[in-house]
Amino acid sequence: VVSVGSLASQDALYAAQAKGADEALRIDAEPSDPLQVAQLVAALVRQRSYDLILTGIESWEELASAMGPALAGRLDLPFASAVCGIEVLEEGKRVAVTRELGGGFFQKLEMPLPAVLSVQSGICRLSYPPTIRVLQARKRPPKSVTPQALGVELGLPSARLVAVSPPRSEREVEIIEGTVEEVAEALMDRIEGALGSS
Amino acid sequence: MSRDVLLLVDHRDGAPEPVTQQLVDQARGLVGEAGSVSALLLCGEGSGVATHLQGIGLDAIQCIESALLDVYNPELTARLAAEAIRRLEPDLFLCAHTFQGMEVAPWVAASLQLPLLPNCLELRPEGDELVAERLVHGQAWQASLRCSWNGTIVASMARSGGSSTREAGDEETRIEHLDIDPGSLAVHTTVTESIRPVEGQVDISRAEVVVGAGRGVRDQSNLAVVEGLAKALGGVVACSRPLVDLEWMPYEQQVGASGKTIRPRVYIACGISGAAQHLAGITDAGLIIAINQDANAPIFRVAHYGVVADLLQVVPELEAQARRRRGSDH
Repeated sequence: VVSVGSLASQDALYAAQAKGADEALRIDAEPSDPLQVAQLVAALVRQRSYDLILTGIESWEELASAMGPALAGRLDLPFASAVCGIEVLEEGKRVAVTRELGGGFFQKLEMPLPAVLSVQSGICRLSYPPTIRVLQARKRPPKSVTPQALGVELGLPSARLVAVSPPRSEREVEIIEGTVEEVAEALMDRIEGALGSS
Repeated sequence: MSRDVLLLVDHRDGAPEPVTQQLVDQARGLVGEAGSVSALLLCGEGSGVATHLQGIGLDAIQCIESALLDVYNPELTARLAAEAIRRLEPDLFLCAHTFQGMEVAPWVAASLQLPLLPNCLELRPEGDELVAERLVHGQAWQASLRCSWNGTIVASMARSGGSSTREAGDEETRIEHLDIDPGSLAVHTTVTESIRPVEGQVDISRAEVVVGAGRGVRDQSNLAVVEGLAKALGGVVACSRPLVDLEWMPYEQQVGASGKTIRPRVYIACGISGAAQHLAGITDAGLIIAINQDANAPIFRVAHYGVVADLLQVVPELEAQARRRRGSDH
C-alpha cells in the first residue's frame, strides 16, 4: 500500500496494515496536482514492478477521478475506472473486470496484467480489524521514500490556486418552519403549484 | 488570438449524451466566434451519431469510424484521443466529466504530459492563461485555478444543467475523416460484454414526481416511508449513491453522475446531503424540495424550499396530506 503525502497521511497506512497489507510505504511529498501524484507513484511502480495496481475512483476532497487513469497513462498501461468487480484469470496473467458506465449500464472488460484499476465505492463490504491488530499495526511505522530516491523531480503543477471562495448557491433556499402539520401543508401547496391543477 | 477546441463526444445507442450541447456551448463561450470548436467522434460504422451533431454549433466533426468502435473501449478511446491530439494540436481538449471523460482525460493528459483541469464548473480565458473554477475540499469551497495556456490543455466539465440558449441552426457541419486506423494501435483491452439496465416498471428519468432517499433514511425498513410519499404523489422513488452501495436500492434508481439524470417537475430529496455526484443528476428538476436534519447540507444550495427536520417526522405527514388532497385514487 502506498500513499503520497505528509506524515499526516500515515493513519491511512496504519489502517491498511491492520487490514492485512504486507507493506506500507509513504512517498514524502504533497503535490496537489493528480498528475504529479501519478508521476510519483509511476516511478515507484517502475522500480518495483507490480502486476495489479488498484486506486480509488476519486478522493472525497477533490472529486477529480484523475489519479488512477493518469497513472495508467504515465505507465502506458490498460486501465478502467468505476470498477465494481475483478476476477484474476490465467494464474494472474489477465483480469476480467466489471465496470460501471452510469445509469445502470455496465461493461465487462478483459486485459492483461499489469493494469491499473480504479475501484468504485461499494465494490466490497468494508472490514473493521480487531483492536489488537490495529495496535500491532501501530508498532510498524510505514517506510517513507523521497521523490529524489524515486528519481523524480516534480515540475510545475497543471495549475496554481489563485482564489478560494464559498461555493455559489444555485438559489436562495426558503426554509419552511412550523409544526409538522404546518410544514406539510406548506410543502403540499408548493407541490400542487408546480404540478398544476390536475 | 483565436483558439481551437477539440471536444470528445460521449455517445450511446447512436446518439450523443445530452451533455454534448453543454460542452459545445461552453467551448464556444470560451473561444468566441473567431475560435473553432470541433468534435472528436469515435464511433462504429453507420452509427448515425454524426447526424445528431449537425446544427448544435460545431465548426467541424473529426470522425474515426470503425467496427472496433461499436462499443466503448477505454484503452482504445484513450489511445485514439491521444493520437488525434498529436495530429490536430488543439488548444483545449475538452471532455464531459462522465464515466468516459473522467478516465480518458487524465490518461491522455498523463500520456502526453499535458496539464489537466478535471471536473470543472467553468473555464474562462484570461490573457495567456486559462482559469478553471472547481469545487474542492468536499464541496466546501470553490477554487479558481490558473493554468498557463501555451499548448494543449486537457479539461473535463461537470454537468451543469439548464437548457442551451443557442437557437438550433441549420448550417451543415463538415465531417472530416481522421486518418488514424484504430486497428494499427496496440490495444490490450477487449470488451467482452455490454450490460444494459434492467428496465423494470420504475423509470426515474421520465417521472413527473421523484422522491429521493438518501443516507438520512438510516435503516432499510424506513424506505417504506419514502415509498409511501412517492405513491401518494403518483411518483417514483429514487436514491443517492450510498443506498446503492448498501444494496438497499438498485442501480437503475440511482440519481447522479454515476446514475441517471432526472428532470421531474417536482423532486423531493429526503435525507440526501447533496454530494456533487448527486447534484449532477438533478440540475434539470423543476421544483426541488429538500428535507434534511443538517441545515448546512449542500442540498440546500440547490433547493427551492427546505425543511430542516428528521424526514421520518415530516414525510409521513406529507404523505397523509397528499392522500387527503389528491383523493384516494393515488
